[in-house]
Amino acid sequence: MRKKLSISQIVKYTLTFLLCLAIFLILPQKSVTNKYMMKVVNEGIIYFIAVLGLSVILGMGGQVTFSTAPIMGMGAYITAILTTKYGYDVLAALLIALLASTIFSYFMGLALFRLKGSYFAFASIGLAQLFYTIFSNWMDMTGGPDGISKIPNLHLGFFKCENYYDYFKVLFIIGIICYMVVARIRKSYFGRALASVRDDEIAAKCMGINTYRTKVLSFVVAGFFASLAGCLYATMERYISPEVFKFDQSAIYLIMVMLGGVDSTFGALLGTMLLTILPERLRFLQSYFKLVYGVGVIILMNVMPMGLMGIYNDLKRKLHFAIVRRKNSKEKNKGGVQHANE
Amino acid sequence: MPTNEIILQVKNVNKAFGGVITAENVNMTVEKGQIRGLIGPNGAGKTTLLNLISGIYEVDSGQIIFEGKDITNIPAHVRAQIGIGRTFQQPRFNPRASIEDNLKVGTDLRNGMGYLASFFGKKGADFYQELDELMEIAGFRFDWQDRITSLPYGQQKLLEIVRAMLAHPKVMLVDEPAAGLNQAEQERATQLLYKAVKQGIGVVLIEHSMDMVMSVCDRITVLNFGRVISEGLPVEVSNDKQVIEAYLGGDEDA
Amino acid sequence: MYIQLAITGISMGMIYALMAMGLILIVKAVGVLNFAHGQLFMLGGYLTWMLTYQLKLPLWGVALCGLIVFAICGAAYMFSVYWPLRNSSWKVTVTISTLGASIALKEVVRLIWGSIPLSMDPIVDGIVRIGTAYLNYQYILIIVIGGLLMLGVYILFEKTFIGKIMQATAQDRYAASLIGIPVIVSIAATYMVSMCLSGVGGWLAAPLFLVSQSLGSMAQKAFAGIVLGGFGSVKGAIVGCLLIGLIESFSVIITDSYRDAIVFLVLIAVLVIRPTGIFGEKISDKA
Repeated sequence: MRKKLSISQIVKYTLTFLLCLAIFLILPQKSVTNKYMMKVVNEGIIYFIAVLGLSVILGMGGQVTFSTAPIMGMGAYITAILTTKYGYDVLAALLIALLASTIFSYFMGLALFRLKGSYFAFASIGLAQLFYTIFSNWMDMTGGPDGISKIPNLHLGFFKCENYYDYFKVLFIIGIICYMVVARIRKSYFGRALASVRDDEIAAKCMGINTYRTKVLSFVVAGFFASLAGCLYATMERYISPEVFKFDQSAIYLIMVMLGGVDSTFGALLGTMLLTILPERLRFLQSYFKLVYGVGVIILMNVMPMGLMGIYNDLKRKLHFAIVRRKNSKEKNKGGVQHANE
Repeated sequence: MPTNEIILQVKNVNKAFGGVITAENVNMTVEKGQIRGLIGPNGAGKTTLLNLISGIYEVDSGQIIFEGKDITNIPAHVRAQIGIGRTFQQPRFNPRASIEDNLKVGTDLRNGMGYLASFFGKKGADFYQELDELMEIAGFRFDWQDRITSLPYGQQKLLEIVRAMLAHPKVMLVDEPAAGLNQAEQERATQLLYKAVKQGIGVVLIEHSMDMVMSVCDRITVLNFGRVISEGLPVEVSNDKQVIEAYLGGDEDA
Repeated sequence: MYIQLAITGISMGMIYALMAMGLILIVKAVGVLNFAHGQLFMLGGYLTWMLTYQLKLPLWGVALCGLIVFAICGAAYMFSVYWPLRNSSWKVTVTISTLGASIALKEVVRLIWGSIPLSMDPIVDGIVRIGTAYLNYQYILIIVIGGLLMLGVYILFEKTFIGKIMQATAQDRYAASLIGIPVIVSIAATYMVSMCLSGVGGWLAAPLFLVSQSLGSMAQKAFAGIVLGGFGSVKGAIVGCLLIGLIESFSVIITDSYRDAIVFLVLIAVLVIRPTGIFGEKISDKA
């Protein structure tokens, strides 16, 4: 019953790699994508990184949280303040912001996870409100409602991002790395443990899982990704204001996760891209857009609680077993060699 | 086969929830390789006792001693890590996860590696051979990628025992493994338990099916209203008048 | 000055407490927190504004119609958001559904009444003087009405038949249905009461804060009050909210713009020091 890499898997990985390579080379050209679309795509990737973190804590951990936006804001503001006010180098500022936010997430997680499920969620809204208040009122540091502008562009030592196309190249690679990290988490002990904590905390404890520590760790991971997204956002947009990091944004991130499919890393990508690009396309709805959005969410939860990837995986499973059942009329296969990826 | 080496000891344990006394001066021992039956009418406090041993509940007073060490104040997950395994009356799996992921929670426990090590691909000990043997006894097959919920109830219960055993516990607390199982499945559950004791695991078995209890257990502790009313060999216990009274007139089949 | 702050604080605490009570009712009845609760409160403000200024009803008319409208809204809300998902064992979907509802509600209100904050006259005009403090009558009115409502709810739940039915359904829905309680009616009733509480809260708060979409954010403070007082306990929620109101009021001594921040910091402190709150019950799972 050993696990081997099967041919179909090798093919799948190669194709994915080639596709990514193609996207990397072709998409960031003026002839293919206009500047505006590139900006939207970049924003999509940034949100995707934040949503990846959320998918760990919500998808695997089953915990609703509104902490994504405020911690994203924390990363963004620290980066912005360090570069514009104190003249730090962009890269250094980014790393400091990441470190600070992640440490903060740790202590925040320690405090918040003393609460049960829904109460934790509400407390996280409080966190979002708190940060919003600070961002809007600490005029000396954060510039208040006017925000901070003239944030320098990102550079990686050897490469400087001058325009949206440059940013795409960097963001794309970072995005892929983040995707792989989260997908790997899903398949490793941490992911399984989180799922156990999510589905049955008592059983999880009886299987040796330190539920509190696991939950806090998931919050730290979510915080890391959120702050990374914030830092990238600050350098790309070169201007930030409190409005971007309101609790409403957190709600949108949650919906992105649910839309794409809460059990799927790829679903997070789908959900994010759809909800970043669709609003552009649906501008004709104008003032009714948010209403449709809100009602749409209610309908989504009723009709497709497992999201798009949920429906896809459901169909795939049914197909798989229809085929298997046809192959063996009496017995089921023992220990499939193939491990289907999402 | 009981080895006369006590691995788990419950000493003068008391537990009350509000005004309800669920455990009163309970004493019990389990030896390596022994099957200790734990029986009593419904509500006698059997599952509560298992929960006290697992660490889900804290004792009001008394001690839980494992391998000679006092674990009364150790949290539940650490108790699991040092070798106290558990199954539940209702199978407690992760419904959205595949069978593979569910079983791996058991082997993860046995491997004892941290999240980081697992993330970076450190492989635990190979468990497939062992799994094969256990599934041979359990008597059914499954597809790794199957949802756990696709298995019928009986198979899920058996799989729970398998998962607990994959974690290589030293003591296994088994809560009504036969409930809801047909004759053949009960036999398989029994075989799994025999395999466990052959490996030197001490088993605490809660069961209502008297057939199973009488044939399988080495010694039995009988609880009623949280108190131990009898203890001894199956034949002694089944003839104990107090026990018969407690059950209102004798044998009770599951 | 301290008397002024104290009364203001208690009065704001009353408003938070009304919201909190409504929230806890829903939590106990259906087991999930309602994220649109702030928006229901906001809706209350707008509806009463409509009744007062657009339909130009007299005070008692507003009160009467208000309660009826609130009840209808409560039931409507339950049907559209909670009822379809009532059998889902996965609570996250209901949570996200209420999230969608909060977005939708905010937009509906904006589409109907616009984004400009509306002003509303206090129910009782004028200022009373107590010692050296000058207070709007409105504040005192809030305390009085709030107290009366709480008394009313207490009587409803402890003394009346309907109240007992609602409690039974909240404790065990399945068992309640088995003994013949119409579950749907009971849950609808709970939502209606909850909405009435929040709606009246919105009505009372409106003259002080202008009717706008940001009224919804007051739910934060209500929640902080619930945590402070110990969740699961209505009594605790009320005490907690009153405390939060006082803290918020007195914090004006130190700072003005950071009052929200202070409230949340208190929340965090409580979580760290005593997660179960003042009256909290230790909630342990059944194994």
